Amino acid sequence: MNNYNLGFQTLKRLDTWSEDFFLDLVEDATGNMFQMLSIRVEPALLPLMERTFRDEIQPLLKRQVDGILLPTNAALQKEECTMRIFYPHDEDCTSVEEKNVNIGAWIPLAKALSELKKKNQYGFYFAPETLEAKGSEIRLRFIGLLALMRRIGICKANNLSPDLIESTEVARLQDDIWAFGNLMTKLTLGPIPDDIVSKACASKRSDRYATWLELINDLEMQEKSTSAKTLEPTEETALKRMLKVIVHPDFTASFKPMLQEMNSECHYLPHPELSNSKKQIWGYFHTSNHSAPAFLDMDNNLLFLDWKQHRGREKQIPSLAILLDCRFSCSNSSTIRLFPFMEQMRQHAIAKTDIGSNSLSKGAKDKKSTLEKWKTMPEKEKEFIEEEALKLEYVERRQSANNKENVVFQLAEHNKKYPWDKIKRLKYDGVGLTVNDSYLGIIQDYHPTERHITLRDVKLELEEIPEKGELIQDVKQEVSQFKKQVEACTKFEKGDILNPELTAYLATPEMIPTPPRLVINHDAFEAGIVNQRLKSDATQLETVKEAIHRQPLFLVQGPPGTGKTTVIVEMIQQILKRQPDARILVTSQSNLAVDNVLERLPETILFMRLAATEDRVGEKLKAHSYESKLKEWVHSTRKRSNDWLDQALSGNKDKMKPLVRLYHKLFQLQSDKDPAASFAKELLKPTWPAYYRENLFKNTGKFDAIQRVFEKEIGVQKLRLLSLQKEWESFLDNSLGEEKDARTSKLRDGSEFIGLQFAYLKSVSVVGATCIHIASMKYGRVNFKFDYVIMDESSKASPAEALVPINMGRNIILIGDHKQLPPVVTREEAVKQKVKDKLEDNGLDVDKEFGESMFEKIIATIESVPEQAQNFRMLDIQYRMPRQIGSIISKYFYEGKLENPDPVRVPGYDKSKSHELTLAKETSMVFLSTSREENPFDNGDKFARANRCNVAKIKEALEWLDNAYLNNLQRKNEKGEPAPFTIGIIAGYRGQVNMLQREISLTKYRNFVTQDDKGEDVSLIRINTVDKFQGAEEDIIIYDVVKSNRGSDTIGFLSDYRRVNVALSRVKRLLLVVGDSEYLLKRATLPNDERFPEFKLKMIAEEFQNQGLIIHTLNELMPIPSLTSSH
Amino acid sequence: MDSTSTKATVIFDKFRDNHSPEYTLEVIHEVYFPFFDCKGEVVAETNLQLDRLSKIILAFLSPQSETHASLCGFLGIDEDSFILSHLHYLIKEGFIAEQFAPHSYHLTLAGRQFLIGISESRTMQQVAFLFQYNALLRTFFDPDFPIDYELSAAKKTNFKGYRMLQTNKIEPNGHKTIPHKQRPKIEQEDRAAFATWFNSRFPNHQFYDLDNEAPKSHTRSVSFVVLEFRDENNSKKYEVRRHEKTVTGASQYELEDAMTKAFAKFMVENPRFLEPSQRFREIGNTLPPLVDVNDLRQRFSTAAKRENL
Repeated sequence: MNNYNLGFQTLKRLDTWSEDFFLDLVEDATGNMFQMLSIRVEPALLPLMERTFRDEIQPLLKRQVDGILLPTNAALQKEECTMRIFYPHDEDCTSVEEKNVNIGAWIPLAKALSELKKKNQYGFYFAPETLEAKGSEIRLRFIGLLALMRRIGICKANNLSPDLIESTEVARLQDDIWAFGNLMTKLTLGPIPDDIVSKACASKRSDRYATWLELINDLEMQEKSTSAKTLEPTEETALKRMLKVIVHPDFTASFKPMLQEMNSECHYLPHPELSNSKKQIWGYFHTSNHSAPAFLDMDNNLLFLDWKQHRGREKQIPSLAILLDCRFSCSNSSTIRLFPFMEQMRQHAIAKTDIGSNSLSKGAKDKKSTLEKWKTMPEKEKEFIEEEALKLEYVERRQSANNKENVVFQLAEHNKKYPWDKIKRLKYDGVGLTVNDSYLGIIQDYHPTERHITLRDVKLELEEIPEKGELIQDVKQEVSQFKKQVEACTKFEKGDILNPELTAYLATPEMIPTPPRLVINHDAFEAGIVNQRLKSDATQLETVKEAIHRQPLFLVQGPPGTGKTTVIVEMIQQILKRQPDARILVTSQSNLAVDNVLERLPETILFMRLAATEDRVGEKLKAHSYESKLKEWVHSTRKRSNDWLDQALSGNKDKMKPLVRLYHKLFQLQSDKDPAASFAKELLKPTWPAYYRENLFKNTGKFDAIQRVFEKEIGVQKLRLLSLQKEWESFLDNSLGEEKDARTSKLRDGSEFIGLQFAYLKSVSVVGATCIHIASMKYGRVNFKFDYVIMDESSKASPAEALVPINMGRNIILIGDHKQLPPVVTREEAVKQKVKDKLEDNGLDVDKEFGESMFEKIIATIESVPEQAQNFRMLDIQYRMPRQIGSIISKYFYEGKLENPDPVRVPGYDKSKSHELTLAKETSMVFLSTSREENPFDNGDKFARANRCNVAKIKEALEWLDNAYLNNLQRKNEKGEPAPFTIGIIAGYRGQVNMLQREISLTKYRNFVTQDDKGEDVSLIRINTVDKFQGAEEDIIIYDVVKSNRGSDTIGFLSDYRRVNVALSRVKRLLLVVGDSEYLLKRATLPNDERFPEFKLKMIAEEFQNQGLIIHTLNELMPIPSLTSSH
Repeated sequence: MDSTSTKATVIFDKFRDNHSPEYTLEVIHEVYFPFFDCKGEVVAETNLQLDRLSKIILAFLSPQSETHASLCGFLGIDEDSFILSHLHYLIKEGFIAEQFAPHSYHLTLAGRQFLIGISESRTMQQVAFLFQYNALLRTFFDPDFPIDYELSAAKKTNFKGYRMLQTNKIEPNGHKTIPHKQRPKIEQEDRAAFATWFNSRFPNHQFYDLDNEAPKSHTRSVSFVVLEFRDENNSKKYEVRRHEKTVTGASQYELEDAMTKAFAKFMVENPRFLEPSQRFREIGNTLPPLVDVNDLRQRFSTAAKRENL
């Protein structure tokens, strides 16, 4: 048993080719078994191994091609000159040498090879030991290794095409065809027709099959003729396939009369979820009077019927059922050698999901309906935006008299009024208009009285614009995010994603198998932790360990202040430590969350921040934007190349350097009208030694003569290098240019050419982008494939939004907190109605159904299936809030599971969370009540709810704080850096936020105002809604409840405890809740909403009351002399 | 008489005796026939082209063998840079040979030939291509060429092309539209025809396989004039003729032979298609046909009577 640092345990040796090339059976930390191919080379061959690893093996990881066994993982250890490649292990697979392969079995393999050839992938080693059989299928394994295997002498000569034996010739497609034909001859049961063998194995490459398709055609013809001979058809069924129907021996007698019915008409409803290939299909057969579960094996022309479960006539044959146009005969199962195999298949399918076939079909159905639901919302949002877009019918178009680039559109005469206000707004916003999906331009002018509208700098010729038509507002930008979400759902549904295994995990989490126990050496893992602080928090440490070992999905719940970002940063470092070439995507639905992680990554990690515009990226990360990074790379590459060439050209001779520089100058002057004259002029500059113009280039009138002097002085070869390097520089520079230029700078990446800029982007270890932006058309050609997708705040992303990055990942780590804000559901009633119509459910609670993130859905499943809890961890120690507040948050929102830090492990915690004031009562939280004020009630406007009384109270509080923290701006942290306290004012309603922002002059509170680099005032006080505060924290939080009513009424959306949780848990030192305490305690009631059965805000108000923390004036808390006197 | 009636008169005069005496021209219809604009991806084999980066690397290695370090130095890249994927490609193609002690490269004969542009090396390439499809005939369609191929060379040369209209944007004006039933799908048996068609369009490429059997398709329509002749037993004959609306310069209303045959077959399967009340999925199905010849006759006879008077 050896302990390999990827966390695999070797179980046994499966095969040995040499002592440096062998196959082991290994087990990972979760108990999954793999075949691990180990290859060790002498140090000189390390470059070949590296190249093989990077360009052959890595692109194959987690891909799926029927007929080929592809690796799931691979690791290169340069120090040991070793590469390890992991393949899935299937106990049902056997070696092919022991089998007699049917000729038909080669066809799927040849088709798979043809698929690979389409991507320019060929050159494989075909030998009995690189084939494995599963049932009647054969699979090729260890592809991509031929060059390496030939180099280290693993390949047997009798398996290689003659052109490759004892030769350094590279393998061509025809060498594969030779080896395939050779192997087919050896392993096939029965003879292969001579013409196929001779054409596949012809001695000259040019005489062999030119393509796989030609070989496939011949094999298929051969197979057909073989099957036809065995069928002995009657005249009328000569062309029909014959299927043998197999039923259990106990039912053979009762079944026989059915045959006639089947031969008259038989339909088959395939079940794709349960079928492992196009030729082995689980499903239901239907005749006019019967139906039963069945298994169709097309390879062997068998139809297995589970007659025991047969049902009578279905009301109607399902519309998706296909007609089985075959001839049926009956066979007793005991005579069919495939019966055990099929039974095994069935058991396997059932065992895989741990449930019966009914549940399986339910799972598939659930998945479909879940995805349908996920897709509906963005689909309808998009539809709504398109419908709402401005549409103007025009009856004439003409060039503008003033400017021919502008076009005037005469609008049709209507009874209805034109929305001139909207047109005005669109003009102001610079929104474009289109006609027949072609972009025209933006609005220059409009005349309501004359009913015409002028578009400026129109992109179409006048003739290209229809004489009459409809101008439509350009909403491409607005709908693009919804379009991407719909596309993501469709791809996910089809399984057309990087890791198709994820479809079951995410859409039907209740169906996923119970994860095994993780076996890993904890001490060794702990020793390798980068951030030592994690060692004092067992949950954080465990979470990192589990998240990187449990694949393909892991969930982390991170309540407020529990160190999510710390954990994510550590995860990234650990992944890269184990797999230095891993590609990781850090994503979230918000830019801020992405920035938070990237800002904490060490500079040693190459990362890039992708965003639509630079203003969406935090200041510290601007240097890491796609454009900046690419520019930086191009410049440094150019410089290194120049330095190398300077050194190569001049060696140590300094005198050569100016001459080389002068040659560069000549290069630039080449395009001048008279380059020789320009050169002579250049020589006059004092930059160049006088010797050049007086001696070296004296009398060199023509360009050729100048060139000859350089050739003589520098040397022809060196000049050639110089011009080659110029070409390289131009290649690099073009990658930075406009799209057209960038297209000329391409390089080969696997099977295709891609732009240099995209190749660079793909080489970056960590990419950060929002869920939607990562699918931007800007990177359309990149085809992102990430080893890990780490999604922060995933509880805030809608499922469709989350799927966009998930589709690009092999492994997914979702981090979020479903006890905080959920995804935003549309506020448009029209969209909600559209959703109801589409889902044919008019009673649908859209907010409830669509306010659930994928994260929450999976957590809910995990909570109901305790065994699955191993795929989930909750970070349970909060480091943000003072203990008093932390305990309340834990009690009311996390069922007491959220803990405060252990004073022994984190000494000084309480001091670090102190508000540093001496109050009348020792507390970190206070409820500043407005109940005794004259009019504590809000304005009752449900569209713009505001409360003037609360605004006044908050102003008082700010003044009080400004007086209390007189030395705030001089405050320093432990490191001696300036660390003044900050204030966050959070209101639950947009109307109140507007009023607060309008009425509070932030710079008035001078102890909370600093200056930026330009000397301008920057307030340390922020006012915003709860939604805008998620993910942020402030030293002091003022939470404005806003809602208050004279009589008893429902609390409205404050019943959603998640909003209250977010608002209260932003605080680091002091929490002030401002509101009408009497209203909360006595008059407010919960709305009738089963989602929120408990009135948490009221319970918290009671907590304040019980602790005696409700005050009515700030003087009750701590009289501040100056404030007291002014009152 | 309005312009529609004028056109109809011209058509009527021109074709009324086409099948006489048994059949008389009864109705002139405007029918939109179904076509598709398709975008597909084909995997095709083509000669490898010398790209910029290959040229730089091969030219650098062309005079003599160079070490890995000097190649990377010349390019200014790290010794494990992503740029080296391109080197892997050149090695796999056999243009560069690699030695390992010391790690160096030299150009092969194939590499030299490739550098000077005489390489025979082939590669697979995904080629995005646009094509049109005639949904009634179920054939590929080139709007620049007449649908009937048995035309004289001169007729083919003079043909100026069909104009395909976006089906969902066709204004209702009394025409009938044959619905787009099945989206084009290139079945196994169509492959050979498709390959021939593709190779003729992309002479530098050799068709290998389709990347997707069902290309992306958008519905398009081409308007034709359909003449409906009837005999005394009300048995019908149809002629499909070009319409100047969607066939440039088709003022002669030339016969479309293949479309006529296909339309006749379509009418057998959909005998009520041209009936005004018949609800197909077309636009403007409730409007009358282009012109009813009986109505035209009526007008002619009134005019004739007036002249006689």
